[in-house]
Amino acid sequence: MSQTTIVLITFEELCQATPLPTDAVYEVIEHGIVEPVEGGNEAEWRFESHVTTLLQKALRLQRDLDINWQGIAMVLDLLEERDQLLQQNRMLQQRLSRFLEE
Amino acid sequence: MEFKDYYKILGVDSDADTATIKKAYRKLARKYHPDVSKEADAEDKFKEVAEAYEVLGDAQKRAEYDELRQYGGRQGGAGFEPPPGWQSSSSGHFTGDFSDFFNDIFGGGFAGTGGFHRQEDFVQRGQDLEMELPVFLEDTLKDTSKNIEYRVPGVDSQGRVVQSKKSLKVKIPAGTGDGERIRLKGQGAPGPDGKHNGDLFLNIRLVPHPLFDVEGHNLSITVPLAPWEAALGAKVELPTLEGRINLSIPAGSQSGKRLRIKGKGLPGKAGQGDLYAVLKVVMPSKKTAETDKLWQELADKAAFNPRAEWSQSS
Repeated sequence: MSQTTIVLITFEELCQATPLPTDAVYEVIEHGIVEPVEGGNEAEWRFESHVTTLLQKALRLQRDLDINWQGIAMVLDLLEERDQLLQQNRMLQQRLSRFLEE
Repeated sequence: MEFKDYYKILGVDSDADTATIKKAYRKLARKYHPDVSKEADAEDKFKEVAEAYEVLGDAQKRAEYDELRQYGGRQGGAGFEPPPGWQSSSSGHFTGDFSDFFNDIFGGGFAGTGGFHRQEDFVQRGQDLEMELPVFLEDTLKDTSKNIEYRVPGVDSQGRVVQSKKSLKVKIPAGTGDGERIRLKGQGAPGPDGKHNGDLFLNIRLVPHPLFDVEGHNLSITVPLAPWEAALGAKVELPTLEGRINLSIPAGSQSGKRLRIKGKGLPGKAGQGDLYAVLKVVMPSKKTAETDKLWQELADKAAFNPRAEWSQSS
């Protein structure tokens, strides 16, 4: 099994993985919440397969917090940035703790 | 069954107006939303809040709930039962995963698609699932397999949201790094037709190691040195993930200096990573009159001012 190779899915496969109507999927792509990694037009678009979970997240935020796509795009960007910073902070804290005497 | 005090959950008075309830819900929803919150059990708290708002945010459901609350809710405890013959007139299409209390009063949450009605003629797949998988550093050196357990959301014959447990054996390929994803095709939730399963994505999290820190595919280890080892140079035995090696410490090494040991890091697609030995000069914990005398002698002979920069700038 080659599980870690990045799997790419088509626009149609993306639509099949979400309850969103096609129009809304276009909107999500226009806002850059989900972006194709390949392809210049819809027929050639390819997405990384895990973007489906990102789409679910966007959908939950829209439903539960009543945010529009532009707001969701920003929330997702900030969340990703926060998670990276938390991860980096954990790593730095751990390294620092090896050097400091309490 | 436990009576749920929705007013208490939202932190509002029982005579609060719609605007107050909406405001309280919005605030708590932002705080506990499982996609945003870092609070412990955010998901359970969010579900409670969403359920409370589902009822109190709807005039008809709120009126029915208030009636029940008058009837038995104030008795408290776990013994709440709706009055005999109780029938809600607002039962219908709820989308969500609600408590037994809610389901008994309002007739059950139905699995739905969150208000979207699709007209496309292709089949919708089941939901993709995502979970974190902690992996030990040692397990990334070669292909290993790991058993995982997770919950799959589904819908029972009455249309209620149910969770079922599933276990799987997963192969973790050598060189898998922190934050990488493993996709298990068809191991997600079943589709609305019971087939066309979604996928399961595993987010790999490396478990912190007592000795080694990870940075990409490179590792680092802190090497404690006696002051004279740092001064004169030394050969030390260094643990790596695959046994011990000898490391030469150059004379005059500073605390914090990094020495690169090529190829002793983690395996990766772009080749084997490196190991960095980070030097840390430590003082002996025991001292005697004799060692103090030797330190004093060194202090006199070395004539070294480590804070020379301070005297220049002030």
